[in-house]
Amino acid sequence: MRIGRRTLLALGLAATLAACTEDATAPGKCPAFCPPGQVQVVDTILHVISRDSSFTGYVQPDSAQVMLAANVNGLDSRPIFLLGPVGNRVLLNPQSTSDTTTVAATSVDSATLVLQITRRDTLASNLRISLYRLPQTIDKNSTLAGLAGPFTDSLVRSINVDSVLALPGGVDSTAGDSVATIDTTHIGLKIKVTLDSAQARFIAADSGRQAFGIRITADSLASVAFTSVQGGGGPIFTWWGTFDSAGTAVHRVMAIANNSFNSFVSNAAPPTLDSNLVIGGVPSARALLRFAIPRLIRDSSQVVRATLYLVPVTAPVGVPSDSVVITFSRVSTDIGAKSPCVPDVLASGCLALGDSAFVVSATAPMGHADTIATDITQIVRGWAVDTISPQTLMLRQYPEGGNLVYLRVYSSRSAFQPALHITYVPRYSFGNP
Amino acid sequence: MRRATIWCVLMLAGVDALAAQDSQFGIRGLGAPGTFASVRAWATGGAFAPFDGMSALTDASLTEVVRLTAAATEVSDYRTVNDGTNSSSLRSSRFPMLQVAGPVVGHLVIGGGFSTYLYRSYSVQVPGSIVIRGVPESYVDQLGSDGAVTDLRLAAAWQFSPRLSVGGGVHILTGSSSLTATRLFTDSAIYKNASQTDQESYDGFGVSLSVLATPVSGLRVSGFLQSYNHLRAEVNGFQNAQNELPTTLGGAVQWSVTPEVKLAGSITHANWSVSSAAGTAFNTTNWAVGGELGRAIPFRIGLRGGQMPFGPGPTAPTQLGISAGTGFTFSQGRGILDFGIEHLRRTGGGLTENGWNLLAGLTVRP
Repeated sequence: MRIGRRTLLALGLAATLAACTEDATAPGKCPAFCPPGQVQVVDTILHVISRDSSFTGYVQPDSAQVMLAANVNGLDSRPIFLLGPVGNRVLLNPQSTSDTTTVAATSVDSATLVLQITRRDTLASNLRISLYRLPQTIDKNSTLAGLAGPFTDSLVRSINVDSVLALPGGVDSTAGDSVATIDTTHIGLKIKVTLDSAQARFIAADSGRQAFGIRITADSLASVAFTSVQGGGGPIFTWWGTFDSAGTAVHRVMAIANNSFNSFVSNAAPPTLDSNLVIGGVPSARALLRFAIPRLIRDSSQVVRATLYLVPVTAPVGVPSDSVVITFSRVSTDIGAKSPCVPDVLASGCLALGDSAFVVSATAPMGHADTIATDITQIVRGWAVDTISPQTLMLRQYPEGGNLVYLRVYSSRSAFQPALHITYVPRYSFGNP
Repeated sequence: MRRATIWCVLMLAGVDALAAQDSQFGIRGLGAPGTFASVRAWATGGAFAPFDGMSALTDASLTEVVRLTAAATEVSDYRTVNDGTNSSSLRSSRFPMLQVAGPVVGHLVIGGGFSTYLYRSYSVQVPGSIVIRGVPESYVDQLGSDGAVTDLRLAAAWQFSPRLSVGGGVHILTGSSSLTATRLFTDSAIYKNASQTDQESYDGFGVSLSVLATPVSGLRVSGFLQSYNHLRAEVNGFQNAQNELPTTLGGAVQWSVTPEVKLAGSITHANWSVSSAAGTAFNTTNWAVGGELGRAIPFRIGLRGGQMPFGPGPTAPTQLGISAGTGFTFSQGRGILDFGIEHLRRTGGGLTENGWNLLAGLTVRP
């Protein structure tokens, strides 16, 4: 009897334990063995921009992430930068943490300037960079016309980027220059220009403080963006000196000059405001789109795809590599021109491209006036989740202030107003059980 | 043995959160009706349910309870569903019944508990294609319900004499289902998925009356009636549907051939056609016969058949089940463990279900 009970208990409990699983999904044979309702999909185009406007004057050249250099289609833009003062003494024993004895350079014999290109047209040939000495008085009010003199008679050096890049290792051992690609696309370049003592011209009374300007030329498509200090780079100017080491002349780095100012001057007209929307240019313009999506769609339906259509007034004209990239960003609150972006909680500044729930982008290629279609599905879905979030998008150029070309698109006051092509699933009716 | 008791209680308690799925024939309709039978009665095909104090089918049978008793039932089902094109294997666990009863004063016994009135758990996947923006897009719709309509019963029975007992009860229907509808696009990079979840709650009211008589020694007969007004369904607080519910009439007979051999048979009829639920509703007649051999470790066997109330065809789906089981007492008779197994086949509308139900029940008499 005891064995029988134990056997029964074991069998029963094993069966109970084995039953603790769930697999309830089967192919539906509809309509006979399916719930009465059906999932519907609605696809429609809506003109839901309730208000829109453009504002200009945001990012000035001296605040941009790049310094623009262009010499094409009548467009002329030249980077300028001012180097800070440096000392001519170095630590006698830099490896020591306690020896603070310094020694002065017996002479300043050369300098190197490192520039970084982040955007260029790889089809441009014979790209030449010319370095000019500028007055130390350059500032954000400097103009191309005001610097015409120094840019004419103060040439310091020129380098043919393509020629150096074509050399073995990208090194010109004679001039001491080098060019290297910095990414797999071979668009980004790191250029080192060596200046001799006459070209570098260290003036002790100014502590080496001086200003330079850059002008580019090419057979065609001469448009280049150099990284600025605001973009995480900027020109790196290194002074080299000769030091007396117990009677022996030693050649070593004397100092690295800080960039105290960098900007660019150009003859490009700043974007002007009219009844349509303008995005980009320098100083940069932004557009604000305010959506009024019907509550039936926003609150009671589920958006599965949303595409925003913008129609350019005219095709942007310029070098293909300068195609206008527009970012569409949600704003934290809608206070018009100064509406703050959604901040990045993990870093400073706004949420960058990559989180499609907050920021997406689209590109308007040069020479094309095609309608710009942008997928903003996740943004619209985000508005449904956060119903107190303003249904507003701020349109900026990327990088802002980093392109002389701007885009003008039709506003909601035009026949070719922005449109939202939206595909949504209305609320499912579970029906009579 | 005491540790085993605790373990069993924990195991039974652990499955109460699992969803139930009883039949594809309950998808288009109000659901699949419950059995109202304890494991002991279920193992006899349900034929013993009208005479079993721990089954919720009749109230008069409460007079069989001679001291405070609680019983719980756990069922696991393994089914194969074949619609002529596709065949799929499903499995689920459920905790369909808990009953407590005990004598109060004199010959009055009061009992109550909950049992599953309608199973409303299912999940179906429906593939399809739709042209959006001029391009065909494939998708899979997943429609599901996870829940049940539960019958909360408070009943009383009075034994007028050793040969006659009468019982009555009130029933409150309650419960809820979590309803889901999801569309999954194959090209999820372009089209995001849409998913909706709602909570559907139910309410209703019913009464039951029953009589249990022993006209001659060893022979007992039972007659019973259950009547519910309607089942109201609310989704997110708003009434979604209201369906009339059936009146169930039934009768049963049990013959004690010897103290160790008992046989029983029962029949019930329910007018489910009063319901206005989606799909066709049919009146149903169900029957059961079964027997129990032995007392210490009895052997139970049963056979049941009849109809399901909801189906797509012109006639009601049919069901046929064969069952067996056993049980034993422990802790000086204060606890009873019952086990059973049932093979069930349901057919109708071009669909066939074949499955096994594994039953486990725990009865405690403190």
